Amino acid sequence: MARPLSWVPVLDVSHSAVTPFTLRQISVFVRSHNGYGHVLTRSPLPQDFDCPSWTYTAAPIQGPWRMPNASVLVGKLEDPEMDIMLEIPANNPDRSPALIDLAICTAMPGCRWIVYRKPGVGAMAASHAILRLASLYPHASLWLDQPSIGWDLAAYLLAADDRLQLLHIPDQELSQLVDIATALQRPIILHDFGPHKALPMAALPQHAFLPPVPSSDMTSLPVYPGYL
Amino acid sequence: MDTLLRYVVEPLLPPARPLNMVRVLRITTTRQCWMQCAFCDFSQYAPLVGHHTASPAISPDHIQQAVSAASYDLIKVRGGLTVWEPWSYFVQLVRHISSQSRAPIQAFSAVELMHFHRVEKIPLRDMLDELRWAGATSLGPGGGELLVDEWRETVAAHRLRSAEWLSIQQLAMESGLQSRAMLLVFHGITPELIQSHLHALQAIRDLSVIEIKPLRTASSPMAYWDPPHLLELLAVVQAIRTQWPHVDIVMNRTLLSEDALTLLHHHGVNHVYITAKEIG
Repeated sequence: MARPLSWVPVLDVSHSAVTPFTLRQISVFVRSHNGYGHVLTRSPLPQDFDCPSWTYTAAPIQGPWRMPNASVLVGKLEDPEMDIMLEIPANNPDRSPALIDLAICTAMPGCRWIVYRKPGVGAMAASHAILRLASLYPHASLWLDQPSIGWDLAAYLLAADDRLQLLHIPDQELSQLVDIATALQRPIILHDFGPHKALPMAALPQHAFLPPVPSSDMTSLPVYPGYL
Repeated sequence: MDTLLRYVVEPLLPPARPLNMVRVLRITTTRQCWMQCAFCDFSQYAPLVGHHTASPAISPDHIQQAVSAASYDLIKVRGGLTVWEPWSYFVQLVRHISSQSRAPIQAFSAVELMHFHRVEKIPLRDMLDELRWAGATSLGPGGGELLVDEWRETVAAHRLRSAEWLSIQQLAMESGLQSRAMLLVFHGITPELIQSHLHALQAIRDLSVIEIKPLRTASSPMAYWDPPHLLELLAVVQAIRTQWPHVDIVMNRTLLSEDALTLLHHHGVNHVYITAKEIG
């Protein structure tokens, strides 16, 4: 069976501190996605707050990080000579600078690499960089940042390597993911980075030959009523 | 699901041919048409008798201004179908354009020729010769969207049949006009439809250009139908390249993102139409 495409609803509240309003926003977001959702936050969420999965983007550099359902941003790779930028969150990491070593990261639990395309980089260069990264690190969990990669290149990359997944998909553009899944004949699952089991989405639409066209429109010549 | 068009991944190697950007002057004679094909932007019917609301066809002054404004690589003359101006008017129009510009002229299509052939009872070969001597270099691919009669009867019952379209293309080539084929691609198009169309096109000798036309239905009765996905377009390009490795594959730049254009170029599209100016 074809490997499913992931839909991870993501809410980014990292632009502000965690306030009661933010917590309310998060709980509404998670409820509206059937209990699934991943939240990006700049400060830790309260221990008793029920959030299925979240990433703490501004954790202190040193020291272990132990919280259920949470990951921290281990590091970013922004080499100017690279056509892509990597963001690496992981569960329960010891945030030492050595973890930026990509080979070590692949062995960390819950570690995933989020690949960004730099502005102005062409489709050729970006796809070569991403597919090369995927071939160099076959066991890495690679996620493509949809807004920077773009839907057209994302469609090609998902077709080229079925280990790649898309992240940060705006809800209003989900139909694009469905189109790609239809073209690639892959199912879609809803999940997040927490312990919940993934939820398979409903069957994809089967497109008919063509939609029915009202026969009266197509089988009679248009005649100006005043002429009759 | 098995009936869907499948794209087979190709590595992005340097393209075999450069991408040729073609600056097009698009002249639309009229946007009204009695034929009412469901996929066509010109399918808005306007009554042409009594106090009609149809705008007049394009005037020579318009053309003179547009042609002198810039240089073009191709001038496309196209339109809907009315019974207001006679065939001789359009021949004069093409002659006027060719006197103003040295760019190749793609004049009308098999649909217009069949219309005037029916209305004015002029032999098709005579009309093609008149177009050729008026300065046209090629016949547009209109009418050859998908050469599958079952499909055509469903969405364009009044359009000419596949065999008629193919015959007119063959006659055009005998008259010295370059023949152009097209392929309308829509979301959910099946491999069987594509193969039937490509098989029908084999009847045209010396086919040199195939224009891929993604379905754009913003102002047509099929406005609720989705345009094709990029992976479907890539699969169509692959299917054409398999059968015709040397044919020119053309697409319109409109609504294609930079990434889509790059990917299509690497898969075999080698000409892109850019509408430099549009009149009418």
